[in-house]
Amino acid sequence: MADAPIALVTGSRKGIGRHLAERLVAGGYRVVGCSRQDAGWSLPSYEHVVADVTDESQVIALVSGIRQRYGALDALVNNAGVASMNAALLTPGGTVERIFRTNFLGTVLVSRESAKVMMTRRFGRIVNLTSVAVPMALEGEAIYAASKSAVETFTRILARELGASGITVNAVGPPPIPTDLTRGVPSEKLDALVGRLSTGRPGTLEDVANAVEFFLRRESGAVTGQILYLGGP
Amino acid sequence: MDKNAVVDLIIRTVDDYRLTMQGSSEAIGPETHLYGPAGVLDSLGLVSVLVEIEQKIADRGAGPVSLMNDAAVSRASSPFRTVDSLAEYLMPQLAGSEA
Repeated sequence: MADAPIALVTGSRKGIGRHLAERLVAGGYRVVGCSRQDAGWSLPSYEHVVADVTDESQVIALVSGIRQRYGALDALVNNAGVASMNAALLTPGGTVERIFRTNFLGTVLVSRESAKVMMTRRFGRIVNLTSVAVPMALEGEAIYAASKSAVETFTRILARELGASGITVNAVGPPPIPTDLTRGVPSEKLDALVGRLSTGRPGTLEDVANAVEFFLRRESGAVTGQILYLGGP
Repeated sequence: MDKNAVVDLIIRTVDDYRLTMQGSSEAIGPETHLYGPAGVLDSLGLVSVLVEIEQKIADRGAGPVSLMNDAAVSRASSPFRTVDSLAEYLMPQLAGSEA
């Protein structure tokens, strides 16, 4: 595993992040995952770091540690995210701030520090997680979707800024997937949303992994600044 | 690190970058403009050099340093203007991280 590519997956304790970490390990990556708590699971070639992506000093220490331990960082998946379904008029300012800090600020900080390491070898793959909530303009998801809109704009512009450094930046937008993130959403609302998708079914963890792996491939060097929605919203 | 060592570190990093990316071995000194109309680096070059300097400082055991912080970008006169101004900007940060 000495020459294994190195990947960082944020929010890897559970859900999509854990699945992606496991898939990347199975695909030959050495994976560093992070979350605010211990992972509670382990795997050969997987290292878990307790770090809060909204804390700048913790992010700097996280990525600096990866560079010092492994000497490189080939891939980053900005998966850490939070959601809060509520009517915009009933959403407290603190909730807005919490969602933007994790979904947007966290993505910016981890991307910035990771790209610094990637630049030194003029190669890198960054994949951000967005959502079909953006193109579908779903009622009750104004704040969450707005935070993901910010991620999408950041993705497109960062792709331009890093293109000459051999780093691609893309985003994957899954439909609802049965995870903790969607647990609080009423089932009739989820059913109505899924009914508007071309596929007519919820997303799966495998759907997301398939799209992420496409963006991470070395052969995908010309694919950058793209937002890939799953399910056909 | 004293200021001379910091200046040397910056010059070596800029030299390495220019030799590798621009094929230039033209000598630079403390008053050399790094960025701007008379600068020897373009925007990508400046970012690359700053990142490299951050990593060299971290590798010296001084701990993680972030050069591109709020203090740097809000100054009326950019600390990234010349080799010397960058060294001046780095000194207090290094003192803090080495303490």
